[in-house]
Amino acid sequence: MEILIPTINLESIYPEILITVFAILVLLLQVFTSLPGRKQLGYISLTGIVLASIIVLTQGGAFGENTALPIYSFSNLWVVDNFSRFFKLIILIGTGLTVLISIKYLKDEGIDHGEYYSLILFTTIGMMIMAGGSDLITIFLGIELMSISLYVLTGYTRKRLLSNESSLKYFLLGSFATCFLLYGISLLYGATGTTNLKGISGFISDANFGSPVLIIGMVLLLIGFGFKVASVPFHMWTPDVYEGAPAPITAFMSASPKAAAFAAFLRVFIEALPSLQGVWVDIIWVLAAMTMTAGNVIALVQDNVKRMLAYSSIAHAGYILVAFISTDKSGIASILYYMLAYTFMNIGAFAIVIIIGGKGEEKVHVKDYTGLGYRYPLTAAAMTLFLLSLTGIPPTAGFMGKLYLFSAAIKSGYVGLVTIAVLNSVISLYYYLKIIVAMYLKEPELDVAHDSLVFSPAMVIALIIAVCGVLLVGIFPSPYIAMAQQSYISF
Amino acid sequence: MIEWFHPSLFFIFGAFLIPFLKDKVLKTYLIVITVLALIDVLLMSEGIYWKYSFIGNEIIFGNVDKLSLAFAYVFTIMACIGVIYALHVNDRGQHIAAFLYVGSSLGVIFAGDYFTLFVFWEIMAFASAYLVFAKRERVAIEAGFRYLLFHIFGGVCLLGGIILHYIGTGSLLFGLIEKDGSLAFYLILIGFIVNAAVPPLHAWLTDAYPEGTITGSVFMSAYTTKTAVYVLVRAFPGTEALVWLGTIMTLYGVMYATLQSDFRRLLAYHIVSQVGYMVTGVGLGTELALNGSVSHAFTHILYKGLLFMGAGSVIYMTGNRRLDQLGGIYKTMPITMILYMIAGFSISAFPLFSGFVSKSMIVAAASHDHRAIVALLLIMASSGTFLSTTLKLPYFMFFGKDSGIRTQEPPLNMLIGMGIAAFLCIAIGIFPGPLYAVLPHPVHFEPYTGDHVTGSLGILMFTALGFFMLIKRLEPHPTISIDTDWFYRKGSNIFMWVANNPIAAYEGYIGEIYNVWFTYLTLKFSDFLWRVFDSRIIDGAVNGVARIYLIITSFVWRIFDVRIIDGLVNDIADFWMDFGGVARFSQTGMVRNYAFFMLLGGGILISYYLFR
Repeated sequence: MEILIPTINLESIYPEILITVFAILVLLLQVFTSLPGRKQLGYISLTGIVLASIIVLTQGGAFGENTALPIYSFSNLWVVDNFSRFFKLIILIGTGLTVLISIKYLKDEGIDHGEYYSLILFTTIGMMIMAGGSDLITIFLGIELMSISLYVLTGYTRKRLLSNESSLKYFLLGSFATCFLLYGISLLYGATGTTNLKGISGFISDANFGSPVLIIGMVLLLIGFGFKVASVPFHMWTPDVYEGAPAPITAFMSASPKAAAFAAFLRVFIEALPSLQGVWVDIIWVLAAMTMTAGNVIALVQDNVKRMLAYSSIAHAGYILVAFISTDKSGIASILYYMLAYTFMNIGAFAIVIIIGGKGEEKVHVKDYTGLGYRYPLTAAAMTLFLLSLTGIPPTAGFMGKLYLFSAAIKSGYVGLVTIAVLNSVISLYYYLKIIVAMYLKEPELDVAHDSLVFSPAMVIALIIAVCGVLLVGIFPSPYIAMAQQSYISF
Repeated sequence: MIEWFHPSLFFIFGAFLIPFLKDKVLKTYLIVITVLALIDVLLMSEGIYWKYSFIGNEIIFGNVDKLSLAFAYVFTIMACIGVIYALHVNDRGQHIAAFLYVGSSLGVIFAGDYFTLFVFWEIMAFASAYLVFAKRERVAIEAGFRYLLFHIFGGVCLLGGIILHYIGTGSLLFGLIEKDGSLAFYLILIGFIVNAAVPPLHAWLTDAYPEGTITGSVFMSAYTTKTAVYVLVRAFPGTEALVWLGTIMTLYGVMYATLQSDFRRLLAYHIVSQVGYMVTGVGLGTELALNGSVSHAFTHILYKGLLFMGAGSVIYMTGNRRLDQLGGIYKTMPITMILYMIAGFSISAFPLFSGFVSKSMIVAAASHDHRAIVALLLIMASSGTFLSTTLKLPYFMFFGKDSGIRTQEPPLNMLIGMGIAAFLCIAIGIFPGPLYAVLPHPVHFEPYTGDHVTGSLGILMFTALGFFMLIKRLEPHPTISIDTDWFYRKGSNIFMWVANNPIAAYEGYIGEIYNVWFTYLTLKFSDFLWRVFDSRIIDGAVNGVARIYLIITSFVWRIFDVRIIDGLVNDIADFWMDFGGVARFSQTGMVRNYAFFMLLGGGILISYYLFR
């Protein structure tokens, strides 16, 4: 019997190794740091994130000259291509911003332990593995690493009942969804005899592709990924979990893990199951329409801003699914571009929710925002920018992103779905605007006296990055779009 | 040497500095910026500037030709006037919004491609909405919301049209659209006519403008509808539908205006009416008609701004915006009164005032095109305008029964702003040459022919006669109520009149025609229409749609999400809990609901594939 020695190409996992080292380092260092020094751990994690981003950017040359890519390694379990690199960058940006907005929050809540950063970094590794896995097993491992770390992070404010509840809910439902996913993977393996994405697509294209086992496997995968990206009807965990989780983690979950889930979702469906496209397109059409509509419509009646943004993030997953079905080059590029824009605007909006929320996250209702425009004009202006971007109003990143998403779908002939999407954007204006109007145009109610808000330097940096991101990506989109177009999955 | 500098940059980047300035520095700054922009526009020469490649498409910021220049001149002139008029305002948010609004409308004027146009189009909507919101009253905020929703609807139609147009033609360049009746054509047209306030898509205007801040409404009266006229002139000349839509607009606006007692709402209805002339001109599409549209937009911006400024001054000084509660204030505000009257004569196309030289052009274009009915209806509307804006409104506001209100002239800056506008109204009316020189097509039109002058004077005089004869009936009332007896009472009156005077009418007994048409019938008919149609149906529809959404969502959320699913699942869960005796688990019943929902969804998906 011949023992297969896998090709080990450590270079291709340098960013992941680096983040792992930093995750462990932070965990170890916390033993030696005094309580006031804890925030240094945040900056150490940031260093790791920045270094990893640099490696991702340089790995295999600049975007565009991708002759050297894709590089497959570890017996085709792992791939470095522009698609995964782009997603890894989005994930790292999201993680970096999350660390920045967490530092002050942790101190206020009295939970500044090294584990927090360590868990965030482990989540990041999981997400990066999801983006780079080229085998269902690798992707599954990534999903589990991400999810388990997130379950803990969700319940990180141990003394808050809501946080505990949301953690447990997330854990139970997440495990349930994982079962679907794993079952789907095993059915696909049963039908095709391989878990390798290329192998599966190769098998389906030569053999009987209509076999029920294969189709059921695909549907189960769809459910699993549908849960991770929070698409209706697998979304019901989202509002509760987002409301209960510590606000920085909510920001994080709504951006990076969603991006990672879309990365894996896209890769599996477009790389492994392209020949079943005719089958899954209908379902995703319906899911997209339901997700957008339910997300936006239910967001209308929310009074809690955190919960409102949770529903809005469901709606945004719906917009992304609109481009998903166009499955051509511009469809995928538009998703990449949109995820980038979305990361900046959504984390930015949550950063302001954290600032306003204050200690114990007590001020998370729309009425707590009244009169903010007068007392803190810059903060209110930034929030306005993020909300307008989420609505998709020019000249923000959100507008370019939506335009790109929808025109990709129109090009593929999905005019009906885009009409639904556009109507949804109009609905969404109403609830985003509600906050803006509260900030600028209503006199503060008597019982809502703003305590003076506290801005930590890290938070200010995060806000500046998010504002710059929203404006840069929106006003000068060409380089980012070019990058996204280079990141089409190469078969 | 910079070849061309985009005037929007003065305003848009200028706006960012406003928060850091105050008092005199701010005032000087505001004036300097607007004057710089004016000079910039005046020095411009035709050509195409600032062309960039943007994600694979060509975008053009500076498409300068005679058409865009004509609009740019009046936009920047109006910006100067508006800024001077608003100098006393301390709310810097309003100055910022006004600057962004003016800047983005200039951006639309110079946009050479749909993309740039759309971006500026949307900024315009938001910036102008702020001018309504800024009044910070509940009514204003609600009106602002409706205003924005309407414009976003228009914007979405426009964007959809643009994308389809792009996919169809592969070009984003903004110009004449082929009248192929495609979806793209109609979507873009709808996007534009929402902003032009063409009924039944006009309700945002008459809803929001009266609610805006005093200075904000002055700006709003100038830019949104006129940018729409500009894009229509550029893209849709000769579209037959616009002739009729425009003609209907002129009459529609006049009819409703007659009934209003909030005088800014009255003026807002006249915007609808006046823009109707321009839209008609676009629809006619001949050189004369397009010239007429552009020149009318030019003069309209000035006199309508002046009307709003006059009305605003009265509100500012008296705090009252209802016609039925004012009266007799000419004694204390004579200058305002005179300036207002100049605008009034201009809007009703009195010879020697600016409206005359532009409006007569469109009417002449209609008759040259052998559209006698259109021309007649336009003239009718003109006399209605004279009746309500120039006779009724000032009569009850400045003269009429003395209300006992004693006030004084508005601040000097307001008077200066109004003075400049009034000066221009008269100057253009007497020397139309410079205006005609900037029009897009060569002008072979002479407004001051004996025919024109006597014709319009005759109509206006008869209108005046009718007004003073029926002054009692025109007295504004705080609420205009209508009962079911309207039908038989008025119906019998009309019947009696027809029975008594059929020949008289036929022979052109003009006094009686005007008497009946413009004071009596119009009044009652539009009373009915306004009550029933405008205030209820259109406002109601906008409110209603928003409300229905809210109701449905709270219904979905409460009943569906909470009651039915929870209830159903709880029952099933209870059953299993009792059955299995695992009561401890009941504490997290919700999770179970969610899991159940996932399972249900998954089941539906799988069965879809298995049984299809």
